[in-house]
Amino acid sequence: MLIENILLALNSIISNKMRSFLTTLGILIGVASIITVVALIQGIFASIDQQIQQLGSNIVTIQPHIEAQSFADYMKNRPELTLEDADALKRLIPAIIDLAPVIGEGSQIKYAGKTRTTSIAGVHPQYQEINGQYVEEGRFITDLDLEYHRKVVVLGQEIVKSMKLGERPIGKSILIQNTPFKIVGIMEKRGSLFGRSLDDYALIPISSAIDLYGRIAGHFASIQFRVADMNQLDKVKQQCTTILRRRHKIPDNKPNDFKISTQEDIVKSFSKTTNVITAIVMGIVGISLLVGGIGIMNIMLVTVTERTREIGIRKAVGATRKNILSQFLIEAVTLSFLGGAIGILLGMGLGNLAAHMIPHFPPAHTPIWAILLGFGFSTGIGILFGVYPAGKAAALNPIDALRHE
Amino acid sequence: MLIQVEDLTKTYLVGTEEVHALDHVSFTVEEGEFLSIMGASGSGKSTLMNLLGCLDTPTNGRYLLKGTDVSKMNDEELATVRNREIGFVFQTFNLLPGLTALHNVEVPLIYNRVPRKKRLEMSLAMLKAMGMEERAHHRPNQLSGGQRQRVAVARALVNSPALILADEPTGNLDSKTTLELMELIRDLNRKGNTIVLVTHEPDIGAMANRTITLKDGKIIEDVKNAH
Repeated sequence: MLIENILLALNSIISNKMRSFLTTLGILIGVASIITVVALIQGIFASIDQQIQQLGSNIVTIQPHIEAQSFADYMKNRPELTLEDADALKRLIPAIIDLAPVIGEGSQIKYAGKTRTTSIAGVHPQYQEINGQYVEEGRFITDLDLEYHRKVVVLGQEIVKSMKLGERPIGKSILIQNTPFKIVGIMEKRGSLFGRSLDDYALIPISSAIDLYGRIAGHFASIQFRVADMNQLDKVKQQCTTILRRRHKIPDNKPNDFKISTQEDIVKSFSKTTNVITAIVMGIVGISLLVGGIGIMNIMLVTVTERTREIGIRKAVGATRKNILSQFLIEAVTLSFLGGAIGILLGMGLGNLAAHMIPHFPPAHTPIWAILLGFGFSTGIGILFGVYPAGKAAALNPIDALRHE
Repeated sequence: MLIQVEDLTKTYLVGTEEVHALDHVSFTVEEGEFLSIMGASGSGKSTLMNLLGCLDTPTNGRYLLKGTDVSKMNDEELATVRNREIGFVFQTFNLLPGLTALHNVEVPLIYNRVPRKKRLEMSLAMLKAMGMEERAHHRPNQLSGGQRQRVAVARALVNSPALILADEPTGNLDSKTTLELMELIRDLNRKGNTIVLVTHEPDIGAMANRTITLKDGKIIEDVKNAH
């Protein structure tokens, strides 16, 4: 009987193409727009997640940080992390390996008359391993570069492109703060995030950076290190806090002027954001599908009136209330299911299209849960809003129904 | 005895006034009979037809079909009786416009839970018996009135019901097709089918072997027709 009713529903849907299309339009548009939005958001999430994953799991990052009320407030109490802080941590905590302070400055670089402001980072040779970003062409900064304060630079690909350094940039020299630096390597491409290129940077040996900017440039420094044994992570964080508070002479009643974060923390705060955004999207899903459901109910009610005679005939030849109820219910569910299916396909298509059309946008990603939810919800809406019209159809008196013109 | 009707009464409330559409009607119908029910409009013949067809339940009295009292049955049970024991032929044919002739004939078999393959075989055989085999895949709007009524007769017969109820079956047909359809119905009766035909046309009613005439909800005449 179920199969009969599904075939019957399909037959009725096909023989009333226009009406069926209009009935499902609400569900179709609702599901399609939701899938589009989810696909785009999930695409962004997947891209961010991947970038977080590129950082190693046992990496600790310490950055200057205070809870400032305003920008002026921040500038007045500007927190600093200095290279001396970094040296102290390395000296005092044996569990730390690969400690690599990074000092960053926004600086002008020049090449063949072109000028560009980019971020210059003074780094250690371990930078590659800690950040999971490797040199693609040429070589990275070495211990010897560091020791001899060599004026060498490794460039991100965006700079190679925008400064028109040509096919073979390695060996050429660019000016940083009017000091010539020789290009020794090009980093692998990282792409872009929210329309901002992640390849717009230059790396130089930290010793050369100190020569260039002086040791007090430390307020833009961040300290990265690895912990040899993951089980010691909490202990190391505690030790860092104690040492840095003492060095920065912070009274007991004041908060830290730095922030220690592990990859775990980043993932945690990231997934918190993810959940909030997803919840908002769910809310929109609910509302738009509700509207679609009311559309289905509307047209199903009209259908019941329009098909009163059919119901009468069916009852006369032996259809029970239950037969009619399930016929109309299955028709509503089939319609909303089809609407959901087309909506999902359309949404996936639109998501991909939008991701392609917006420059630097990460590829769209439709998770399985969104597809299942789209199907589940549209079918559920079909049942919810199909019950009333179907009940009305089933309750019709066959004599009156047969007389209906 | 196929039908036994005792004191069958149907009362409607019109405003505050009680109207007896059927007033203590009693009669019996033997298996294999061809009975016509005649009467002017408002005589109660439609009400009787609805009761005999199990589309409605009486206010009072009993209706035994094949020895079973159907007057106290609920909706579900009545639907089953309509499906198994009664075949309807209507004035306006009442075919489903979206379905082909074959699928229209199939409908009662669906509600009787006959397997699909067998259903289609039976429906096609029935259309063949009605001379409608060629038109099996046509929709009602592609058929003439006479052809539609033949499809309706095929649908009425497909579940081998105990009783065929024809409600003004010739009302929408021209005189030539009327004669053809009546010949078909008499032929069905000769083959053993019990037929109750409701009509207001004396010529048509006279083709039955027996005629019951109603007036104001009461039987005023019950005669055998000589042929």
